[in-house]
Amino acid sequence: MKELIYRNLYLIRKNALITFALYIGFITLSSVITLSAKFGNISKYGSEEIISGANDAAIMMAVLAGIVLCTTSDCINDIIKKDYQGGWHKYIVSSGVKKEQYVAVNYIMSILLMIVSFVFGIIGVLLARTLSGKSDLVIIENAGGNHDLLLLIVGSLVFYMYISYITLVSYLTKCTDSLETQLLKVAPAFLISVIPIVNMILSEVNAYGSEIYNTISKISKHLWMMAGGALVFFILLTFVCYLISVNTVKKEGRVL
Amino acid sequence: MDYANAIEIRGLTKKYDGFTLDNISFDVPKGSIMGFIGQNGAGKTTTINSILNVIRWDRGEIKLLGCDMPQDETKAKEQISAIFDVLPFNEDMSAYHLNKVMRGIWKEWNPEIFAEYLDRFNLPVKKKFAKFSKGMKMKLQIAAGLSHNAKLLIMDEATTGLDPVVRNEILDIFLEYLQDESNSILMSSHITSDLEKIADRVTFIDNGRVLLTGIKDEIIDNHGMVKCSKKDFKDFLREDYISARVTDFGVEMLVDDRSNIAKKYSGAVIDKVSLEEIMLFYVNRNNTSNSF
Repeated sequence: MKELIYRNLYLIRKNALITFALYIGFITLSSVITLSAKFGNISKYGSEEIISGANDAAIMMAVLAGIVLCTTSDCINDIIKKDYQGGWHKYIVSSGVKKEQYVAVNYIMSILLMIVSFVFGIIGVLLARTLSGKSDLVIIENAGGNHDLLLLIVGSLVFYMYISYITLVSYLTKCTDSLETQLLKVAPAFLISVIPIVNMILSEVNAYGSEIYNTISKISKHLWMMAGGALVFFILLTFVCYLISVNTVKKEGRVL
Repeated sequence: MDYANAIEIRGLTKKYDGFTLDNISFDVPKGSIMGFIGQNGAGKTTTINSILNVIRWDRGEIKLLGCDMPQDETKAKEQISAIFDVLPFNEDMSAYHLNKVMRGIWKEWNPEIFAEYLDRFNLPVKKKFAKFSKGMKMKLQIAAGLSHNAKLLIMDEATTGLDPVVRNEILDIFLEYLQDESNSILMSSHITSDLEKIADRVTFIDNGRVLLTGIKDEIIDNHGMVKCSKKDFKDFLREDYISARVTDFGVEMLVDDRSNIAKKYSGAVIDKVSLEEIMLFYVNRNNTSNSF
């Protein structure tokens, strides 16, 4: 199994390096902003409010740097596509490797990349916090602390849920470039983008508006529970996607 | 595990929209090389994909190296090498990296043997496969295929598109591989001359059905090409020949029982036939005009 993971890591190395360079770029920019807010022009000419805003922006940039790292895992789907088109899929299915094991490699890769991006993301945020001298970035008032880390974790998890789903779609459609495949791939992103719009429309109606506000207020007090829930949901979703993918590979070629 | 046949196929059936692999049965005895011939779309790849369980078949039984498929699939596949017409390894990789990956795929992967084959085939270790020629890619596949103590090689159009020098080199390697009598090969190919050179047995498939299967020399010896004038052709009964080709110079007929035909039509000129001619005449056996 580890040799197959090595293969995938080798194949994504260029993309991983580019993404890592982007991460370094974001972190550098974040550091420059915080240092400027402490010793440079921002501290010299900016008001308290501007300095605080610059530090918040620097922490947010570090959060973004962590989320940018997640995009490396999108390469897994490129690998699956190339494996189908280049014949590796057929080769590996013809070998002694169990289909469960072969499919698992791609999902394990996604989890490994998630752990790496979490570690680097957290390092980036902590560095921005240290340089700025801020202990937290408060996004929602009266809702605990560590909102920057929460944003990083929840944002990354949402992205990885999408990657697990896309991996499943890759196996279901054998990476064909049909319209159905494209629609299946964008469907979750479309749904997620529709929810805030529906919310916005509903909030215009007073009764719904106050109900949504109350719900958000309640949820925002339990942000860490939300993150935990997102993690559990990610694990379950990935496991279900894996099981369906294995079943699909096992049934390949069968007339349904 | 002891077994007499490396591959045993009984009644293999697989239905697609517009094509049926119909009740295929043949054996590849241990220690032999079986040529699997047929025109494009005849069902060769479908049969091979079924043998490898890349696709699920609808009916029939397949035994590989004495193991029932698909129940003992993993056990059987550890001792099989499949070689395809295109390189299945990512072209961004080199033989150096492939060696590392293969260790995880094949239990009996032997890096020393792989290195020996790379050296023998003059394949660079660090060069990316994208820069390899078609011949080099095929040699690489064969090097990988022979480096994990495989007892059965299954090749799907592996020599197609290669120049005669490389093909010849590859055929020599297969003959060397067969020096170990426990090794066997199933080789599908359009290039019947290659199979004529190395195959012990031949299975000829057309339109999803096995038309001929048996020892190659017997098949070639039993068949013959009758050459006669158009006038003499009229004396031949339809059931005595497979199909006929009418040219400006006369008629050529493929017969499947050369000695009997020689007795029945005394004076008829019967020449030896090649596998290619056998294939060509069988494919055209259903021409309504009885000639093509």
